[in-house]
Amino acid sequence: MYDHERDWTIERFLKGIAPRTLPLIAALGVAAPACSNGDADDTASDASTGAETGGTSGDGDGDGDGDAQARPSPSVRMMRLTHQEWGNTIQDLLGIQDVAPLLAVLRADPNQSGFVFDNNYESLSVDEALWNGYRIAAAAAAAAVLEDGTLKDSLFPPSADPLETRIAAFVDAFGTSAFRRPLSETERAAYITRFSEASAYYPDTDPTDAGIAFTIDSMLQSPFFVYRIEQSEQVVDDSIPLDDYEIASRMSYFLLDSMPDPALFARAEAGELSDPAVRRQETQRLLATTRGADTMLSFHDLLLKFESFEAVNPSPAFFPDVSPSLGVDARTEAELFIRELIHADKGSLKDLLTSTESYVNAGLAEIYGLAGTFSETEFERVQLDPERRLGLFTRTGYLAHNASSVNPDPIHRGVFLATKMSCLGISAPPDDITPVPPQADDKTNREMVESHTEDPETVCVQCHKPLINPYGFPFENYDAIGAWRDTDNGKPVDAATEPFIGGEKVPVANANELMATMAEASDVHRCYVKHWIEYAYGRNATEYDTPTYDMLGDASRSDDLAVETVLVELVASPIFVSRAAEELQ
Amino acid sequence: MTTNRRNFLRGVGGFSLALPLLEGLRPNTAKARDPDVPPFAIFIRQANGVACAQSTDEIGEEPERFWPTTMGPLTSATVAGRALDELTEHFPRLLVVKGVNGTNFEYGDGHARGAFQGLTGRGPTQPNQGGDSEASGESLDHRIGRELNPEGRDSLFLYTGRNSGWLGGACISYRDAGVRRAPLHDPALVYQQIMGLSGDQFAELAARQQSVNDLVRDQFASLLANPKLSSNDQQRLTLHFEAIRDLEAGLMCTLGEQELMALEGLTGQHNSTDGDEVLAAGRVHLDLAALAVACGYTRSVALQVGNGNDGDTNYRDPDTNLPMENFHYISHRRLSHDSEGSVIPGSDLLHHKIDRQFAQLFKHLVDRLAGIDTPNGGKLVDCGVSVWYNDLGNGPGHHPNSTPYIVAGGANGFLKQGEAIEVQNTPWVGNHAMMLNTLGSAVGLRKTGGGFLDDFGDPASGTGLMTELLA
Repeated sequence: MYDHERDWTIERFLKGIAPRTLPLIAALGVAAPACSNGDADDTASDASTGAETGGTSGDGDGDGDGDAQARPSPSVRMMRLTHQEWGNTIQDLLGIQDVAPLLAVLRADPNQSGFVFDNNYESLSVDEALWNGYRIAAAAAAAAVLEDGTLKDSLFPPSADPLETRIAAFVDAFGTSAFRRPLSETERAAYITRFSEASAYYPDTDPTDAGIAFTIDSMLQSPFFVYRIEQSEQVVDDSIPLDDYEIASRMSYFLLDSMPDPALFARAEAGELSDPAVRRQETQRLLATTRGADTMLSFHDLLLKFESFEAVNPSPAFFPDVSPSLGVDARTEAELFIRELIHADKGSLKDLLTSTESYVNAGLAEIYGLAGTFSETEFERVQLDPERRLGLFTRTGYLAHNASSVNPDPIHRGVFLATKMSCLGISAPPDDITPVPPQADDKTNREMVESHTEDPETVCVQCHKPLINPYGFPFENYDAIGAWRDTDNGKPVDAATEPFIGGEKVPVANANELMATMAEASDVHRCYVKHWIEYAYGRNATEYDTPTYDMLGDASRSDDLAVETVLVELVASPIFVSRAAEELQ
Repeated sequence: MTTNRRNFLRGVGGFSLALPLLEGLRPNTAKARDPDVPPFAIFIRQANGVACAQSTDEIGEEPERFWPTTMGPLTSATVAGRALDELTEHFPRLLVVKGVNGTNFEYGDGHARGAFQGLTGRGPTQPNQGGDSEASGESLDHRIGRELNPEGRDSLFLYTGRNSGWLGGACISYRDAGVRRAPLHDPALVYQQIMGLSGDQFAELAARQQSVNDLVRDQFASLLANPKLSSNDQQRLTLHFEAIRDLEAGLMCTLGEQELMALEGLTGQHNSTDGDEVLAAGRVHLDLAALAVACGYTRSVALQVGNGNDGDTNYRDPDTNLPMENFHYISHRRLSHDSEGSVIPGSDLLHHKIDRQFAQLFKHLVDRLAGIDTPNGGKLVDCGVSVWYNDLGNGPGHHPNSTPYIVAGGANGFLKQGEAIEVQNTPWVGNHAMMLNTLGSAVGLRKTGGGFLDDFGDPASGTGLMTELLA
């Protein structure tokens, strides 16, 4: 595991590169070998090999023009809270633990294409339905506070001070927390006035309670609560430094999915967050919390699609002994892998790709060929066979999700790995291409896929032969539930290929060699950091981000940085605390 | 409280999920075809094509199980054994349109091409993105809402089934190019949206909400006054600001206590993969759509059933009551989302059984609307267009040719009824936008300067109206 006391900081690297130009890595977001669509055949089916493989991300970077600089990328300044962020913020702001009933009245956001995560701030908006939900939820939250004396006292503490003093203190304190910055004098005066007038809106309610409820209700409907707004506009050295409260919110919504906690607010109030050393310290502190662990999981859950593992449904005819809970078990295994090996043990990307440890119950232990007795429901930490199981992609979740109910699916396995972990750009397949013929008795799964997708007379070969299949065939040793197999259809499994990694074809004999190769590839580490940048900023990576993920990715590889350290250095980066001056033009 | 939207809901106190109770409507002296009730559109979208006559690698020669035997007047004889026979009692008000071809836009995936084009008539924002595609224009349901709804409020976009999976789940309604709309998934939220503030709540809450809105409005004004906001920030803030205004404009419909309890009991089914539950939630959505239209809340509703390829829903075989393979597998005739799985025996017949269940869902809507009287003595269903469409023509080819459009109601006499009409029989010649123009015009959309809407969607998918459909 990672030794995070090593002398590595992002400034050390960025000092050396900004603002000089850097070559971009062609493989990131670019299909290096020719891989493009031909014309659609207008007579056949789109029930074609790889027709629904997940597409490409189209992230817009990697243009290869070599003009990237270590500067902040232009982006939106008003970031509507995701529902997860909104719920967590309500919990932290008001102390309401069960926010599910409040979240239930908010309509879900659309699943915009082309972005892996759920926080694409360009697309998060408030329509009439959501506004109505916010309005209802705000009133309900205010009512919940009034009904719970403890919550109410925590926000409006009993005191012998004059009521006017207490009201002003409440508006100041609650307003600062809700808006995540001190109120302006105008705002402060307006809310104090409305507090005093609120009894007219709450019949049969104590006037002070009415004021508390109205203040909560109205502030939760304010754009300054619903959105995280970065209003700084002063240009310094070609960028716009964020103020300390804006930095605090950037940090907390990235690392906690919630508002700044009191300690972070205190750092902001003291004006300390422009200091990268303080940000490092605070990032480590925040990541150590329960919410920090949740963030680590959430990122991987969305990137690696853990939720979809639950849909695994192998054929009972072919796999009669498989537990009906296999999909859920596989998700649990993946989540424990992240929580324990990556978060708690401060694991690195290399660990994610090559660790032989895992968490299994009886069903998974049988699939992995483990001896001993295991619980059906409890998961325990185990060592898997290092000759067969390097890293998370050699486990049932990824393998069974990317399989039909009967056979492994090297195409989906390959596309997922190539696009999500190597950031290779792969065009969607053309419509209406010829379907795979029925499986011949004398052919392996690999042979069937090869014969169908690598025919030089078809357009399929352009993507399948150089990019897709070489990332999928190494997993032919794992069947549709992820169990090891040496033969397929009576013939020895051939898992050797030459995937395109780091700008060249690299021969690998099997999945273990593929994982070990990827763990040592700069492109894979850069790709992984790029995804963290997208998650942190709620937008696709741009050419502005290239120097950052190049440097952090390279350090992740060469120094085996803990994922935690990658995040610490991302937050410590000067780019994290500034906006693009171009936005003001 | 404004009551102007109760424009034809006179003295009605409730709306039943079991049976329409809008009996307070009374005839007046208006002529039968006077558009006392403004025309509306309710769209129901089915995925994966229909079980029509075709030759497939998996099954061989598949018989016709959807389209009538002949075009012309709809009769029991022309649809016997076809999915359309579920709608026999409504033949006099049906228009079955054959030959509506989607354009072969470069989406890089048949489902993306169908689903995104379905209500937009547009190609992709970027070619060949497959499952990561977005449509490059506004959808018709949204345009109807924007131009014809009170205060230009959003149309209702409803969804039933698991809201994830292929094409990201809900994917047919667009605010603008690349700007996908969020659906209302839980029927309880649909009711919440339609109801807003109920009469009982209103007196107490209106003043308070007004005070909140005053504060919020000032804050929005200060934010919007900043000339340095990006266009994206401006657009999203403006949408939010207008949403507050729309909600202020007043609220209208309520359910009775019993109906509310029934609604709450049903809403847990909307995120299911069980076909019976998905369809049950769909029926509740359509009840609420009828309520929303009857109350004058909206003139446009779109209901999407299942995700991009409806690949998560296991509809049940009505003969065994057992779940089938997911609809996408059935439509491919194979045990996979592509063409690698084993053939599912009899899957063409199973596809037909699913088509029938969609026909029954559509009938549920038509029944509801036909049960509501209008002031001029007619039925609400005839004032608008209720459209059951499929974004593909067939399975497993998933061609865009002859995508079914089944229309109930003539929009106050704008469209023919009681007929099956084939508008063309040339494959791969897109004319789908013409169908959207025709439906948009029927509902009341007009192009700039007047005249029927004739330029909706991409011109590559046809311009003008399908005049053969006009009454």
